[in-house]
Amino acid sequence: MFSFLHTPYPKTKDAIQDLKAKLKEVEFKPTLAIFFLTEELINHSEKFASLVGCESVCMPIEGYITPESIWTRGCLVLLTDAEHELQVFKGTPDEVVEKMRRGKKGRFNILIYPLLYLRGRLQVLKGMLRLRRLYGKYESDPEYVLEKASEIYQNELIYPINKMLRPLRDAGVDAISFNVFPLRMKYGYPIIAVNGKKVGRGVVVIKFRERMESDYTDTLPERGRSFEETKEIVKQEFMLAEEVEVEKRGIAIGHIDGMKLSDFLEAKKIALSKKDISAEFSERKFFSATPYALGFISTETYGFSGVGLLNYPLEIYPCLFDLDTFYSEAIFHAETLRGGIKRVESHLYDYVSVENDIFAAIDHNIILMYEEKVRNLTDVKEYHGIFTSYPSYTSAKVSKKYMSEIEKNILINLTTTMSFIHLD
Amino acid sequence: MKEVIEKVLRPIALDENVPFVGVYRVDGVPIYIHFKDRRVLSLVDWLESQVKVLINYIASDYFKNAEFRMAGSHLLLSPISKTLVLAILASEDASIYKLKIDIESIKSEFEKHV
Repeated sequence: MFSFLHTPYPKTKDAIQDLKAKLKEVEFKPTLAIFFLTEELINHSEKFASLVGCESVCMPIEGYITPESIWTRGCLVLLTDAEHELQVFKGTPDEVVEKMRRGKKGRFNILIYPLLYLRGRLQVLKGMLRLRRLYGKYESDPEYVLEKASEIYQNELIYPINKMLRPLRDAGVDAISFNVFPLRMKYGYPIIAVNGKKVGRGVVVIKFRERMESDYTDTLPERGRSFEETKEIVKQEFMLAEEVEVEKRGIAIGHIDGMKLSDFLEAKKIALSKKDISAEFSERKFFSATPYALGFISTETYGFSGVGLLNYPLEIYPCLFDLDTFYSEAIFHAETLRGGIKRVESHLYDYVSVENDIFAAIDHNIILMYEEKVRNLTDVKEYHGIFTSYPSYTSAKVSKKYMSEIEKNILINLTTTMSFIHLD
Repeated sequence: MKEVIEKVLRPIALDENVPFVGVYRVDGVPIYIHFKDRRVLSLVDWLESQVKVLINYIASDYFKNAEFRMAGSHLLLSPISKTLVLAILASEDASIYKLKIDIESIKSEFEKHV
């Protein structure tokens, strides 16, 4: 059984009070509560966890959908009595992947983890210094530099999305990944908590004993059957699409068309941020979205996925997914979606139907792209959902030739993706 | 009526980045005002005289809504019924794109009551 509660209040005290009253009306005894918390509420995850007498997970979101409304304040709570197991894996991406491979899997799984975790100012400054020193050797040995930079980024900051899904894909089970990267970041963020206790850098896996129907869409046309075919489809989809040659290894991006990123962006007349990235993290002013992206085509499936190019002067840029199975010939493009919000609606309503009780996770970039027009997403069908960072997916049964299937049965893109869970 | 407006606006009024929320009649007369800091009142006073015409344009469907970007704050005017306009003053730390989404939800809440 599944049930949803929500409160639109942005203050913890008011939100807790409202939820307390609403919890009394829940007609079953939940065994798991997932709190999807907006803005500052995530700082008080222990207070929310103490509301329920069962296991809980708290994660930050940018907004949520109820059958009546869309809010970017307050929180949505999913309650269930489904049989499940909750586990937290900590360590570097390789260590976590190894532990996940060895561990038991659910027939359906939800992964919740910080895509990029900022432990503290010192860690970030040290990392940046190491990367800058490393870049000094770039001209003489770019492959070594990129490999080392990829190691630094993974060991200190980033869990690459495709890498984290591989153990579940290889086990032939279905999983939705909430790879959390809030629009505004600061040190100690993003906060994810299990039973009220902050996880820090680690991966939470909710393993459901029973299989649950799930689905995914990327709101893009189907991919091509060759590199050239996919490239042509992608060039039709995005504005300013230009082919570029990228030096890359692991999750590290080096020179683009022979230039470091800052020079490349300047050549494209994109102004670089003059602000100190470390100060922006301190003041929670770091903004994780950008309209410019580098898109890569997979050597394995000819699928496509892009990474946003933030205009900070980094010599070696981090990608949020592993690039080793992608061509080095990439596409620099600006973010647009032909068809606008209507296209998002039409893809959404392919999956959300009147007959089904659906929980939808929708990429938060859609909020930035369409602002108040996202209200249209509740006009036709009733469902619950969240706006989070580019929900990703793996399934043994992928029904279409999705553009963002970048490895067999692994579907990710860093914009406009949606994942669905059938709660019937 | 006051209780209904207060309840519907509460999610926005509680926001520390929103120092002022008001509901105006189309003739510019305020019917509900909530503010956190007296310093905004002089600004609001000035705005009332300036936005009277705009509110009329909004009410007669010439404008869908209106936005003022000032130094350090942002004013959003949005119709919530045929005769009422919602005014929200947000500080520069507020996410305006998010506020606009929430205003839509506030509007639909109002529709249930007005």
